[in-house]
Amino acid sequence: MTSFKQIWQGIFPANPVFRLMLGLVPAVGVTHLAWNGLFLGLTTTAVLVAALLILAVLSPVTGGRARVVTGLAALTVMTVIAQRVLVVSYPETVVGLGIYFPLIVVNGFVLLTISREQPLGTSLFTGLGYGLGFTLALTILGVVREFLGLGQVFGVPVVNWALQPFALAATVPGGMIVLALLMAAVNAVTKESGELNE
Amino acid sequence: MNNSLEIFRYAVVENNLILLQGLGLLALTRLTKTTAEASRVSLAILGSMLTAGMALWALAALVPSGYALDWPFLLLIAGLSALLWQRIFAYQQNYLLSSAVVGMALIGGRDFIGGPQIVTFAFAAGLGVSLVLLVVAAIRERLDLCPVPQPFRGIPIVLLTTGLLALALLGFKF
Repeated sequence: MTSFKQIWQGIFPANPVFRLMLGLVPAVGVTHLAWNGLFLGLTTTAVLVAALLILAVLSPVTGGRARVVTGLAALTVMTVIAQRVLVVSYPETVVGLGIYFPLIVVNGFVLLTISREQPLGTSLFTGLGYGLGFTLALTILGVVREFLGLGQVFGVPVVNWALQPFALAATVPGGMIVLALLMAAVNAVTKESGELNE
Repeated sequence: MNNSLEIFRYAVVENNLILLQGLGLLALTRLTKTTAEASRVSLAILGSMLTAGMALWALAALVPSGYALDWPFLLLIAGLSALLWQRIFAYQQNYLLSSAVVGMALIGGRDFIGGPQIVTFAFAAGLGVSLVLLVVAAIRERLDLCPVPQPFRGIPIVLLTTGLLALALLGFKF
């Protein structure tokens, strides 16, 4: 498989949120704002790729054993660095993400990518693809929820209805409902059933 | 928050980890097909949360002051506890590591729940998660008998059900 195909695989045919149904916690936790989704998605991608590089360097030392524990440590270190760097330029966003920023480390698809034994090239492209797919999913979800819940997109008010925004969409329960509806819509378009992914 | 009862109200109702914080969705979507499966994972989550809570309490003295509520420490202790219980219950995937247990520790840190209170908080949070897993499993067993439209089958209908369930608790939050 070419590298482009591997990346594409993670973006749509095996999208972490809509197809593998992993990484649902940040998907319902932070996407009441589209910017949060985009920000967390890109950070997760960067942390994952960096952790995969560290693992590749360390694997001759650890001998391939204890991959999950080593991966966990590498991810934690990279997340700490990411937080320290990003908090300088985007203090409000990082504080706003709260506990969901550290939760990058135990994100379902991140752990899945880390625990798979693959050659470095393959794992990097798979990780990049999953990360971009995750970012795309979070951004779409964020746009829908922000529009419904606050009547704006990326902080820009887009509607001036007399109608009040549907505030439920901006809460966690509303996030679950909107996510379920979007998943069902993706299933309906691709003519697949959610049961296949369990 | 000094009173145990207050911690219970806070962890089970006001901040239920699954329903109001959106944590632990991996276990919720994958391991609630039957009530038996759900009670097994509930036990594992309760156990790993208690272990994490006790370890956090006991080890807090060993880290330099000011770092005991910092997330890397909380995350590593809770993560190791989750890995241990994953091994005990022989789960092949990272069902426990992904979020609920780690999330509990991080929320404890965020809300400055330290010392012996973290053990009470861990137990209460575990109880809150178990309750939701069992309720969702019972609903799912009933849902199997219903004509669910094809695109909603599997995980989407579980998320939808959980979202509606969470609406009930939202009433206590505001």
